[in-house]
Amino acid sequence: MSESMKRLVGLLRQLPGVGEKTAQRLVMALLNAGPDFGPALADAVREVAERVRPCGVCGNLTEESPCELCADPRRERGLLCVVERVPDLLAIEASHEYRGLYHVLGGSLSPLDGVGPDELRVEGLLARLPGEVREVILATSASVEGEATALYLKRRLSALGLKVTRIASGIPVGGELEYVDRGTLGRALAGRREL
Amino acid sequence: MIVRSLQLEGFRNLATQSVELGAGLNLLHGDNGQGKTNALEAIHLLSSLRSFRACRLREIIGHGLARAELRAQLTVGRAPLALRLVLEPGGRRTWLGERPARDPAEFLGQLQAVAFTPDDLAMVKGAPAQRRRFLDRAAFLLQPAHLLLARDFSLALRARNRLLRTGRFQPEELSAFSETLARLGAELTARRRACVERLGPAFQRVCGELLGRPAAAGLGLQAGWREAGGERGLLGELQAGLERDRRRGATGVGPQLDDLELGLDGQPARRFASQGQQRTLAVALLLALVDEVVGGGAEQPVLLLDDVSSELDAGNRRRLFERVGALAGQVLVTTTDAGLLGELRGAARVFEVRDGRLLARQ
Ligand SMILES: Nc1ncnc2c1ncn2[C@@H]1O[C@H](COP(=O)(O)OP(=O)(O)O)[C@@H](O)[C@H]1O
Ligand SMILES: [Mg+2]
Ligand SMILES: [Zn+2]
Repeated sequence: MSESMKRLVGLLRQLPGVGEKTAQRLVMALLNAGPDFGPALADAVREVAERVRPCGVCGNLTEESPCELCADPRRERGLLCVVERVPDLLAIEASHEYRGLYHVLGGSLSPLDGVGPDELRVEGLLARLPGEVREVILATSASVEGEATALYLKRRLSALGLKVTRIASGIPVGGELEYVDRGTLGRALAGRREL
Repeated sequence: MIVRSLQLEGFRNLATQSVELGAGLNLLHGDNGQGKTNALEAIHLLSSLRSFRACRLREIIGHGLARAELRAQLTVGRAPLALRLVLEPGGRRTWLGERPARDPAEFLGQLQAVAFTPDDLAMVKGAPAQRRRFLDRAAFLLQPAHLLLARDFSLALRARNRLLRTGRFQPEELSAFSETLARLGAELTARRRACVERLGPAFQRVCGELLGRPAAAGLGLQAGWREAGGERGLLGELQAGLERDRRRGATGVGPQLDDLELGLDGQPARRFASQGQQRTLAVALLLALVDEVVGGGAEQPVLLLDDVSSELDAGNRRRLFERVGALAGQVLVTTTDAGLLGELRGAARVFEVRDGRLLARQ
């Protein structure tokens, strides 16, 4: 492999889920895709890297701040949904069940990884509240860290007189009951809530 | 559940080979250091993804080799299932049939095995951690959800302890992890207690059978917190102990201090049981678990008994093997004692283990 190919393989390998073999395969595919593809990809990568930033209001990834979700006048401003990461926001958007605003924390509280409130967009969240917001929906994950993060936020928000709710959890999104493993199913049953 | 065959490659001193096991009692006979324990360890590893020896996974790879691979063909119910595990210095990989396992939890439930090893002699008199490990494994076999709960609890505990040690946290942050810990902890101890209550009568019965006399044997759970208070109570205890916990940098109350108590003839076995009685009690605990799993309508886990009969007198040994031989499911027993071969002839499939090879005797 040439030096330039090695350099690209080395960079691609830093991406999640990409090992040496996959990186090599991607470089080969790139070279076989015709003369225009490589430069077009390089331009697209540069543009994304230069333009995309977290939204100064909600933390969503965007080229303009505030982002199009924050700026959209049709969104319901009384509802604010708190998620850990941008893919969580995208998953909720894809459900078409929610028309309120978002706040992306950037992760969950994780003392074992050195992530405390200062490493997350917690102060930014508090600065937005209460404003027009009536209800905050805590949609952090059902993991230990996600649950602890929800409890932490509930406490930090308690003085604001807002309605604070937590999304139901247990069975993973799209999980057909028969395919969920017995352990997960058991935990979901044990964690049932009264309706 | 039956392990029909086992393929070994690069696993400790064991030669590359395929072993066809019998559906009932399998006896592995051979001198010391030939690979009997290693063969049991291989099955246990496929079951729990950890060795029953205290060791790193990479120490299992045969000296001078780059990787180890285990495959097993199981019969679960009536369906065949193939498991595959590859160990490399970088980590392990698992497959169910041809498909990589989604996560360790999916792989773990498949081959169910329980093991008695000489280390289990310390079950009765040793540190509580070993008894908690047994209890969690037992609870998992009786109710699979226990595994995820125990993991979540341990994660929450380590997180809280880390906050306490660094000392840099917002009060709401520590409260959040304390609340999480209390919720998981209350459920964990409750499940352990339910497990102990199920095992107790079976333990009493099996002890009597192994000792050849009616024995007042019992199990109890000594909780590491005041259980009557429930989740709220545990949270209160965590809050009350905060200063002490901060000084120590560790959480001083909760299920991480639960202990399983074994009693014999109305006395705590930890204080009074003889060497031979300790062995009998530890084996009885395992057999009681097997009975309860089967009694609950599940298949019998594969029972692995390593050097179980040494130090037992003739009567105890005979009763033990009668009891084990009467099990409907699969059992693997190792021994250096040629005398056992005579006692069990006909009932068992016998393997001679020599220099890393298991040779079936006709
Ligand atoms: N990673 C390894 N590679 C090669 N040999 C090993 C490895 N680990 C242990 N052994 C060897 O395995 C043998 C012990 O086998 P073991 O199954 O404990 O014997 P036994 O038949 O007495 O139960 C020892 O000779 C030991 O040196
Ligand atoms: Mg041995
Ligand atoms: Zn925004």
